[in-house]
Amino acid sequence: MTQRATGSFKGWLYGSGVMLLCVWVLLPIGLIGLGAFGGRPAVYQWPKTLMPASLSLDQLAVFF
Amino acid sequence: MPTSRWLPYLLIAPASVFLAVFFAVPLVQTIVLSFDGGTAGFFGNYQRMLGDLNFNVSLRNTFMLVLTVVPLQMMLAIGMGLMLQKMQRGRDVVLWIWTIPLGVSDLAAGLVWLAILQNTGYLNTFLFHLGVIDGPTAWLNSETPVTLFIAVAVAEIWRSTAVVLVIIVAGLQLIPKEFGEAAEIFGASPWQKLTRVTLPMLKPSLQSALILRTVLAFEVFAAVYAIGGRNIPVLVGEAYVWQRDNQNYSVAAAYAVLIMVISLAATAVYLRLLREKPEARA
Repeated sequence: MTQRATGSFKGWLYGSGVMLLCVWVLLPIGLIGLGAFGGRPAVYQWPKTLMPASLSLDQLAVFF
Repeated sequence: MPTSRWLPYLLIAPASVFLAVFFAVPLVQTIVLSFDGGTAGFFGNYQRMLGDLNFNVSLRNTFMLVLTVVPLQMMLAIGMGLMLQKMQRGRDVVLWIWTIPLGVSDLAAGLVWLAILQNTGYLNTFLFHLGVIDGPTAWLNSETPVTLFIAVAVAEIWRSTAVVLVIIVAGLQLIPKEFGEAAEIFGASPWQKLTRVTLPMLKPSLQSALILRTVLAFEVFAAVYAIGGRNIPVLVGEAYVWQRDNQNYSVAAAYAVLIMVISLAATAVYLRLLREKPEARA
């Protein structure tokens, strides 16, 4: 393997690591966010979908 | 001038009063309460705590969580810190993303991971689509203590690695680049550079991060309660149960004092083990 190829593999590995850690942090927040707008049925829905069947802001009404 | 002589004391007075009222007084009250055993005697509450059915389990769970979570977090945070240090572009954005969990409370983090790991959660959906499971599967009950423990550990790692990361990043920025460059000139490999230059120079930050994280890990409660309820008893959880459910403030105080003593002992061990020799500082 040439030095250039090694360098580019290392760069790819490094970039993948950074991306993976970003996903590790953001994915749970994204999922709970979707759950918050999915309403009560979305909590018990099986199997879950990435986008809830009906988006609603009703859950946020409890704050007011 | 009298004003300048008293000025420093005047300036620290608000903080001192705050600490005395909100920390020292409750601390003394808790200690006094824990030794107020009534007819059971001076150590009555401690005897009751030691005789509690959940005491041994909660002590074991708390220690296992600390011993699992803290080393993993330290390694992860050091890795993340080194990645950030190498980054040419987008460093601030990535640091911002990685520190988002800092703004998430313990309980909210527990609920986030409960949504993922519960019977009808996202993990089971993913496994279902892969064909690994046939339907909703329970991972978080008393019959699955291993997966329950792993779930709590994952939630804790997700939530509080950012605390360690911030301290590590601050410490890495204080290391002069010349040390690393000198090591490279002398032919040090990246591993040698890490173990012989970076980590020794990072010792004060590691010490702070370890103390902070260990003390907070001994106080773990909300995330555990959200994910597993009382299926995975921990020391603070037992203190909560004695205080709220059993309405026995004295035994709860005994638990609180025990947690404080363990935290203080852990801090003393870290301070001793990671003590910098005076000649190393010069």
